[in-house]
Amino acid sequence: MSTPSILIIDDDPDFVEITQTILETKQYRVRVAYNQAEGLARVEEESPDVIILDVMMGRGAEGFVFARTIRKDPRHKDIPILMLTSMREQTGFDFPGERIHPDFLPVDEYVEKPIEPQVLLETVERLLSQKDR
Amino acid sequence: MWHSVQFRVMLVVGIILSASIAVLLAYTAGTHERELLRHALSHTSRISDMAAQSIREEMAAHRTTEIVSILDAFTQEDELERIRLFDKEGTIVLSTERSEVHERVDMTHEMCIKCHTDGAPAVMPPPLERGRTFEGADGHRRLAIITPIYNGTPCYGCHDRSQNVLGVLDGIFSLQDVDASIQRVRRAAILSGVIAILFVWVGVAFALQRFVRQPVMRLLQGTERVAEGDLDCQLAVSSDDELGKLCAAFNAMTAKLRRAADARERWGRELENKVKTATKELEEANERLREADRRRSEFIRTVIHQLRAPVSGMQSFVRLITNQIVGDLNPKQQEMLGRVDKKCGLLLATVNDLLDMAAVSENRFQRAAESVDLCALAARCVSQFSHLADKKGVALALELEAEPAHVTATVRDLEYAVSNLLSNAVNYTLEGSVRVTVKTESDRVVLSVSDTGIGIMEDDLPHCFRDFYRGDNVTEHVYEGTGLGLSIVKKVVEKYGGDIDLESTLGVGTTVTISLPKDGT
Repeated sequence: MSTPSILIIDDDPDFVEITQTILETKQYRVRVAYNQAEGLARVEEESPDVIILDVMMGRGAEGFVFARTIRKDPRHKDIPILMLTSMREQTGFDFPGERIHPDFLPVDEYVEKPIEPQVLLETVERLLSQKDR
Repeated sequence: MWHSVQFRVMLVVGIILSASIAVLLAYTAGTHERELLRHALSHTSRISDMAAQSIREEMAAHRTTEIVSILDAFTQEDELERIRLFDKEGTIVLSTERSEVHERVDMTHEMCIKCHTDGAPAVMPPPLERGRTFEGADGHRRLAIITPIYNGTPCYGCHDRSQNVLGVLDGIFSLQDVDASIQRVRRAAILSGVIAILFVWVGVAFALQRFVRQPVMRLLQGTERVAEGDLDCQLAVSSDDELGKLCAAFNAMTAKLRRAADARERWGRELENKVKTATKELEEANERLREADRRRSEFIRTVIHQLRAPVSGMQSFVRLITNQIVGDLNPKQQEMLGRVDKKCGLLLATVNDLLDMAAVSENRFQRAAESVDLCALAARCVSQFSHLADKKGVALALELEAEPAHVTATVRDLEYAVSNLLSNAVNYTLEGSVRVTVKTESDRVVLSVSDTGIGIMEDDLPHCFRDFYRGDNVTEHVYEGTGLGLSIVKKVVEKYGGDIDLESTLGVGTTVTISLPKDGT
């Protein structure tokens, strides 16, 4: 199996760098994008094994829009998405019942910012193994 | 009509006056009639006496032919209709009715008993008492009078008077003319009575109309106008009697009412203006306050957001370094960066708590409360804290005694409350366990979080629900918090009609219990 490819989409360059640094310790192949359009372009270039996505609240919650776009596309809908959230930052979003809801938060996992390197790596590994099954 | 004072007074006064007039006229007419009758009687008795005188001597001498001619002469008089001559034995010896002659009249006959009692010799009553009236076959009244015929005054010297009676003369007179006069008098009395009564009624009606009804109706109309709100109504004062005074008093009263109403209206307008002004000012002030509040909330959110992102970034970098991902660290550096990590964590916790508090008090973007299974929710929260508990070596147990247990609230608020209690329990427990139980008690759902942590000092217990309050023993330890958690949990629980209870023993452990109304109760 080739080196897993991971796509990071975040408008904050610091977090992109932090996430990238953490992931590269495990020899993942990391590509980055700073907004939704770039992210879609990267997905079109090469379908990643996992997408790490920020909500990008500052840009009108582009993260949500991106997640839904991917889920609607039959070619990409099976790519696992790990969302980096700081949900409490915004009181406007509240998900009924389960935290991860197919309509409201169409992602596979989420990790709260600030990132705990260990947790991030464990989560990515879990998503990768799920995808392989 | 019957309900009018005028009619009632008219009826009463009219009846009284009419009766008086009738009685007066009847009395006058009766007196007049009696006078006429007496006059007729006295006239009749005089004629009878004269006739008796005239035939006395002829009778004594038994000269029948002369007697007849004398009596015939008397019957020429208009009033003397009939004449009869009785002898001492009561036998009719002469009469203008030839058929009666030789008839005998008993002493008990009504014409005899006026003078004779039980056939005894006569005791002469005065002429006026000797007369009697009766109705003839033709319907007219007659007056009859008995006149004794004596021997004559010269004989009384020797003869007893009773023995000298030669006979009696019964003269019957017609009362036709007298009765006609009486009828005229009666008609005149009735006519004048009717006219007088008519005048009385008309007069009474006019007086009542003029002096009572008109002023009363004016007063009535005035009262109705005032009742309809016309306070400018003034009545004409047409007399100086009681009703006139009443009209004047009415005018004074309406004038007073008018002044009072004017004053009230002025006052009302002033008040209305004041209220309008004050309301407008209040609305403006309220609007300014709302605007200020909106800006404040906006400001707080912006500040929090602006604080979060850099702190979050800082902490992530620090963790990158402490995890020695970008290079090795000596122990001192490791320890110091660990402290930076903690401070960043505290800063983020404070920011998050402030944000939660703002959300609870603002009710912003609040979802409608729904039926939530507290068991499932508790299980979810416990799973979120299992990582932290594992890391600390604290056993985390969940006991669901009644499943499911539904309460009405929003998921967000409940998750916040349960997570906060779990966070406290796990953070303040050095070793041992944290146990979460959910059970139902009659109409309440009770969730409790017990730990074997450091506990709370007795003096601190009453203050635990205050904003930013932290126990003294807490600061001795490494746990860092804002002192807002329990305060917000209490607010959330109370929002849904619940209670929160805190029991703790220093160094042994703490149990926080929240109870919420069960769904459907």
